[in-house]
Amino acid sequence: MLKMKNITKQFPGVRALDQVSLEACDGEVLGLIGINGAGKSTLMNILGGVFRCDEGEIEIDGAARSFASPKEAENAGISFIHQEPVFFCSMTVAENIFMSRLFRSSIPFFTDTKRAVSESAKLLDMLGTNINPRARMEDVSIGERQIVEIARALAAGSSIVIFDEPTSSLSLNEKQNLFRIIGRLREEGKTIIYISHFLDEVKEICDRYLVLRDGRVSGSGMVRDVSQADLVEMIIGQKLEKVRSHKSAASEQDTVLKVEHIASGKLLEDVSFELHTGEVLGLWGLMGSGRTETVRAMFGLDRADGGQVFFRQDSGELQIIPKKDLLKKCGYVTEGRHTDGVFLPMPVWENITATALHKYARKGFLMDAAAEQAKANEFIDLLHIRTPSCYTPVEQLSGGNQQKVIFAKWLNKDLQVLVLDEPTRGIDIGAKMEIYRLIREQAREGKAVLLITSEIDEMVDLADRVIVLRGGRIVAEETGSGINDHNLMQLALEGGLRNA
Amino acid sequence: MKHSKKVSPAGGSFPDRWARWDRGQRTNFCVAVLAAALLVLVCVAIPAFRQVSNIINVFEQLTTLGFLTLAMTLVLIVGGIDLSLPFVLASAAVVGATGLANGGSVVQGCLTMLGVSLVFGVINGLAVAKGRMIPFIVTLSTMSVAEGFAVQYCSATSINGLPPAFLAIGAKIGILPVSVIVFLMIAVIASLFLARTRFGRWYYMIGTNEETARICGVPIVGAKFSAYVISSLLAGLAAIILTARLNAAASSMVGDTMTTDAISAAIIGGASLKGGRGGMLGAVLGALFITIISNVLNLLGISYYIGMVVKGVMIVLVIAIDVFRSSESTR
Amino acid sequence: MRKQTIGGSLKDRILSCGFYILFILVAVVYTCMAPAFLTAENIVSILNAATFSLFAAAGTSLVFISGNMDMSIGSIALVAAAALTLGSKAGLPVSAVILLTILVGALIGLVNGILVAYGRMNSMLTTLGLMLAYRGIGLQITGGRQITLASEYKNFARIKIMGLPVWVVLSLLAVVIVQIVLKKTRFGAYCYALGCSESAAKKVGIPVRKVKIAVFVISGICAAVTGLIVASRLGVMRSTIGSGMEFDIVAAIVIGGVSLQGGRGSVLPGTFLGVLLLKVIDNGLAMVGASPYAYRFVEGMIIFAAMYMDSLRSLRKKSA
Repeated sequence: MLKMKNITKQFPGVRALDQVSLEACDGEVLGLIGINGAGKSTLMNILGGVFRCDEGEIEIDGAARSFASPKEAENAGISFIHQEPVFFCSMTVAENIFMSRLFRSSIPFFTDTKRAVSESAKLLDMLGTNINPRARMEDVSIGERQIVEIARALAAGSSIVIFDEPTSSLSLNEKQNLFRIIGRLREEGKTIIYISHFLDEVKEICDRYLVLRDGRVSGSGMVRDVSQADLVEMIIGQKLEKVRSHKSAASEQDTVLKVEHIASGKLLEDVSFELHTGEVLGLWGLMGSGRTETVRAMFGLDRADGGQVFFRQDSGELQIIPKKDLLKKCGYVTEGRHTDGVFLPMPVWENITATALHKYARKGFLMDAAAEQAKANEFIDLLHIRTPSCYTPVEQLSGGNQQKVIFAKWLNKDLQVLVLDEPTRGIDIGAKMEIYRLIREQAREGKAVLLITSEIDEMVDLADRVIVLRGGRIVAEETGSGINDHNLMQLALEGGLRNA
Repeated sequence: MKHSKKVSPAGGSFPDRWARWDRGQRTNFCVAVLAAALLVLVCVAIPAFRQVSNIINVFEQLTTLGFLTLAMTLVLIVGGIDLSLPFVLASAAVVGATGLANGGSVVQGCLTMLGVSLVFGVINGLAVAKGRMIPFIVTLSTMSVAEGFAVQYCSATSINGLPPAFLAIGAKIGILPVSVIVFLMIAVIASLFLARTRFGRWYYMIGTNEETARICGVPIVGAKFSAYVISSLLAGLAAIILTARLNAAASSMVGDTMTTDAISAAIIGGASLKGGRGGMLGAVLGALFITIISNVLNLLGISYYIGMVVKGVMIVLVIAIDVFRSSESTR
Repeated sequence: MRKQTIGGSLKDRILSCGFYILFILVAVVYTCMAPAFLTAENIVSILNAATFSLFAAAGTSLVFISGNMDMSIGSIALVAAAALTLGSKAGLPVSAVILLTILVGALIGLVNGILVAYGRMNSMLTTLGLMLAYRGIGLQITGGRQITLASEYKNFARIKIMGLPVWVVLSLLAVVIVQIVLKKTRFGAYCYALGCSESAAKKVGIPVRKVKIAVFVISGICAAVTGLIVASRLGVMRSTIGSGMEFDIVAAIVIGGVSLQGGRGSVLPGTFLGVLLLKVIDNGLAMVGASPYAYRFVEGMIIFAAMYMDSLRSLRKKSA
């Protein structure tokens, strides 16, 4: 029996959790639901000893507890099953399960491998799988790796198991298997917390639910007593339906980019769409729905299994182009600003001209730094990039200004298509508004914009047309009044059901 | 609203200029100050050092390490490393010198040396850029191949009897050695290449963040390949000059400490093992710094072995500085 | 999904045993060219030659498996040999001298380990620099001269156990022990885990820094013992002891299938066969009458080939 009472957590500038209480019983699955930023992870990190709460208390089996470190939480019987399993690739399944508590053998210093294997076999058997404990971790599938992680939790004697969006990279079969295992854990009398934003999953395996919105509890109860529509209501709240104020100038004739039947492993199956000039096309879906994967597969950055990409030539005809060449034709503002967005230690001007070096290279070779700096200063003025000068390393700029630098980098190349993946993540509201304005301007000027975002307001504000993805497939396409937060959220959360 | 403040492109007081410099320029400045301070200190403390003949000697010694440091800096900038450089130099030197000793023309000899180094550069470049193999181990194996090749080719003896026309490269104009002039010229060209051309920019982009560079459309494979080829060619140039200066070529013409010296010099000059940092001016200053230290150790009559210890400890310090610098910048 | 096509798995299999194929190929070629190659005497002499590297390679493999590199082993061997010379000159008893050399190795390993574990320094370049420093220290101690050791060392090296020289037996024992440590003990599991993923190792609570220091200390001790072996077998202290040894051993380890990224490989059969292959090549080259200088060249080619196969394998894994 786990009780968290009146948990409050204040981060600089945000109240992440406000008087949140949670109760989970032995032999029950509690579904913890909410959109990104609702406070799910903060709550679980407090339980897992990563953060300490400002107020409130944790009680396990009637005894008050507090955890100063993840290790302490683990010793108290709390285990996390991560979205991306933590594992040692070249070691055996048994070693992975017992790594932090290897068995001592009767010979000093030795570990008892046989016992580890037999114990692992027992655990895995209990979980109803036939993974070979002697198999190497790198040879088992992603779904099985997750099961090994569950076995590790059981081996640690955990009574509380937290699943953090565990199905995001699983195939349908693996998902069914996972649910079966969760069922078994429930029978064993474990307390299970299942974090998800997929309502049909919650419906299928959870006994209770707890919905968080903006750091508060917006609903809780038994799953069998609640309808899906009510859950959606609790997740996104009662909001005024926004009326869309702008109209797109796009027309069907001006297709600039056409993607046909793109697929990538288990993450993406058969995505097709067309992008027109002058429009902002939204790719909407939850994390793991295949938004980013679509774009990366389209650019040939990740593995793509088949599928074709057509691009409008100067003559106005659509022609197949190799995926790797598509990147030369499109601006791509990536999801990870620091991992593949900017060159952090390089000055602003070098970042802004990074994509269009050929423009400043005399005879394609000698760089004209003065022209580059002049151009960079133009963009600094145009986009109101706040920087001491164009010589400042980008790492000294704020997140919003770094993002503007990335925009400048692509605008400078002057391309027909802009692909934006989470263009406003982690930046302040002022910079956000400026970036919105910029995106609209680009569309008005006749550019085609493909927008990915996990913020519903952003999607509703900006997109002229929205494609909804779920489980690596397109489940709906909306235009005009269909683009409102209620509808989009509903589609993303349960789209799979409706279409099934 | 605070608008972007534009600093006038030239002039201004020192703090102004300092603010405008990027990290590379600041490092260069620091190394220059350091090298100058060392120079002054040494000149004051050791009378033998400040003799003109010794200073010229220092600069002559600088050329070999200098070329290799330029080369090393180049591959460090793209995020790699090249351990094979000193032995590529030796291989190129023995093959070219054998040709010269057997009556080949000067042009032929020089081209042979460059050709041999080119072959090694192509192998390293292909393996690292195209084969995505680990630079350290690739160049470790080519180092072994180059060393074995050089020893085998000259049967572990020294090749002498080079034509006088070739030796002119090692001569002096007045008091200025030709080798130093050539080195400085090449350093300037390399510096311009790195700072002013598209290739140079690509190198920095790849070394700073290969993923971003890929998305920005940088031809990663080609650029990396070219960096290894150019660095090997620089080793080839060093082979020409060193052979002419020594009037001989042998597999042992580069010392044991040359590889580590070149890495130390490059890192002192502002390059980083993590890539994306450093420049040619810094490399020259770094090489000068190391050469002065070697020379002083020599003048003070400190044993060669203690010199090795000093250099070994120095590279550890230099790596520690690099760790400190990069943890500083990522904050 | 996981089942690969027959062709793919066959290729994978060929790639993964490429080393054994290479080994057999080399042996067959040599046997054809020089019939004396495949005789018991010659095999013992190959083993004998292999002991020079085997001891050090066993320890260094641990460093590699835990995801680090130790390029200073050759110089540690030299310093150890120098310590041996000093001890022998001072007239200390043999057992005390042996203890002293081992202590010296452990101490140097400790320095390496602390720099890498606490200084967060790149192990490959740090130890490359220290290689120079230690060599300088070793040479300074002996003045770079050749010094003859007391005869008991040479006599010790001559002892035979079941027809095999004592050092061969000890080296084989070392290999077996390190392999058992790797596969059977907690420490061994930690080494693999650290090599697989340092961040994951931290997450499950492995004492990462302690393990790192321990592997460097073990590597230092093994290198020191190698110095001991070489010096006592030669009966003299030479300035060339251990020079180039690090490259030989890195080659042997890599050829034997220990991954440079760590987490993979074994000492027995892996490193053991790697060392043996290099000695077989060396021995065979001598037998076919190739020039002694060809060895470095061939060795370089073989590391290159081994690395190429390794990268093909990992590229395949990534794309699968």
